[in-house]
Amino acid sequence: MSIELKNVSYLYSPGTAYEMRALEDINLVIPEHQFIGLIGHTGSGKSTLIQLFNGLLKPTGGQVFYNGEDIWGGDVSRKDLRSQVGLVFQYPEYQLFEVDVFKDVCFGPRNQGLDQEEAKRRARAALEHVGVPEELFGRSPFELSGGQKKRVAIAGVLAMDPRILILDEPTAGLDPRGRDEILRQIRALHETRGITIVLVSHSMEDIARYVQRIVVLDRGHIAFDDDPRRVFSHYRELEQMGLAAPQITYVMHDLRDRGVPVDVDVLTVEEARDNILAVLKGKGAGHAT
Amino acid sequence: MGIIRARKLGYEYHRYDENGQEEGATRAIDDIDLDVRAGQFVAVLGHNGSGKSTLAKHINALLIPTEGTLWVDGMDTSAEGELWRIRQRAGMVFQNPDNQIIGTVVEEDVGFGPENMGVPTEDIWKRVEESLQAVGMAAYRSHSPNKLSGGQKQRVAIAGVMAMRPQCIVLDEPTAMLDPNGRREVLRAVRELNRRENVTVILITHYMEEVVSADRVYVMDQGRIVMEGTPRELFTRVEDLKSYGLDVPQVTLLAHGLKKAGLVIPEGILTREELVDALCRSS
Repeated sequence: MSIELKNVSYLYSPGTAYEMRALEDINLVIPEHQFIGLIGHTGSGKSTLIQLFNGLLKPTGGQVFYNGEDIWGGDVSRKDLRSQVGLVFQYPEYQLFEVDVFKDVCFGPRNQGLDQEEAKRRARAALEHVGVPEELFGRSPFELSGGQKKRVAIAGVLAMDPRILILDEPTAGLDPRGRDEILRQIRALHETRGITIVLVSHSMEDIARYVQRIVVLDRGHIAFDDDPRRVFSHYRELEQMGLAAPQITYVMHDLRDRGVPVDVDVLTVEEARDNILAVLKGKGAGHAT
Repeated sequence: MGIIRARKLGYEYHRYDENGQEEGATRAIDDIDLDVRAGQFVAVLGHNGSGKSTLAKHINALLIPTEGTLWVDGMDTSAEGELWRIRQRAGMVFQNPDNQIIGTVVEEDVGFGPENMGVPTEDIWKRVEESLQAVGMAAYRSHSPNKLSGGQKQRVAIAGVMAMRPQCIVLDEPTAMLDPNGRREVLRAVRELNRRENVTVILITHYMEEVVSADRVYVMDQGRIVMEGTPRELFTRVEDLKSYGLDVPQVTLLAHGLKKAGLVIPEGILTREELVDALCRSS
């Protein structure tokens, strides 16, 4: 269950005065069971890229393979592809439309040709997985709060039992608690169901905390594709691209510059705390007695 | 008296079922007293559904209180006839810049507000120029807004509000949809307006890093103001903030963790410079 992009490029409005190159010569493999973060400035091509993954857009150059087969080669059912590669858009209200939450989540599996009972079972499991309580099942999706709408939108895609789940800024506009809950649930999907996750986010702190690999897009090119520690070690280049490293990375670099030999590769507050404590203890100073 | 003042402010809305029968009432704002002085930079924090946006909408009379009173520059927002003057005093910027930009060219978009107010043409151009300068977007005046980045669009939206010469600007999560660079640009523009033009700023946000430079921070929960103080006062209360579903900036959290583990670090660290200085002193 892998996606592979070979020399992919994408032009909007090719051959017209409005022609715009969104992606150029992208080579990328998304293997099974990975948790990947996709970052890039506004207009870097992230949204175009994720729509190429499930065949919503057709590349203007190069090829997209799903399990080794060219998805535009003729034999691949793009309908099946889209139920295996699920996409949750940034604005959940754009993908919610049914009269109540439960029917909305049933729509995907019904559309896949599953019978009513199986669709209901899937919908129930998906809603449970993202923490939507049963008393909301009968509500109109449009009455829900932003965080609840996001959960329902994720459940709608999850109910189709995708192998790969792509989420475009699932936490934008959520408060810290809602953000942490949704990210933890996404991580649980990755861990318990083995689903491959591609998380698009502008929060470097979230990316640092959750993902195993980071792909950085800059003006339509892949600038970095590596594990988080290595990607964030390029924090100065990331800044040039309109991005940043987590706040904690800057603290560690500042300390190192001031002669405190801390590890600059830490990604989370907990790691930073333990590392600073270990270093200061090693020097035998800095402790309250 | 402050430019924005609320006394026992309350707002209740009713939910109806399909047949028009009332299902229940929700108190979105509950007994709020507020006094914002002219020129202050105020931040409002709170989880989703805590009432922040409802409060914001009262400040430019998009909502009228069901209880208590809100005054903008001394005008009662529930008094009919003051509506346009109130909206001119208190401008509003929303989360999604795409929903508030209407012009096909940046300068037209910024000029829409003053034109709508009946400002003479010559003055409109002057205001457009000044507002675009103030947010650092003058170089883009003849660009099409839809070719701009998120941060640039949001700054155009802020310029559009500034062109109406408000005394106060309310920003409801203006950076929620922006990349890190866009966030920095917008924040810098807002701080400049506050500092240079002495515009009163009310910033609603979920990003704790953005409130560090505020004069005063209010925390809302269930329609009430539950915490209030300077950023330093608030961010020393890590556990309380967490209990309201909020966070503290990563540096503050790290300082808190190190202090708990026994290091000698002052309370309420807000910036990385403060933390690094404190650690270098203790090492």
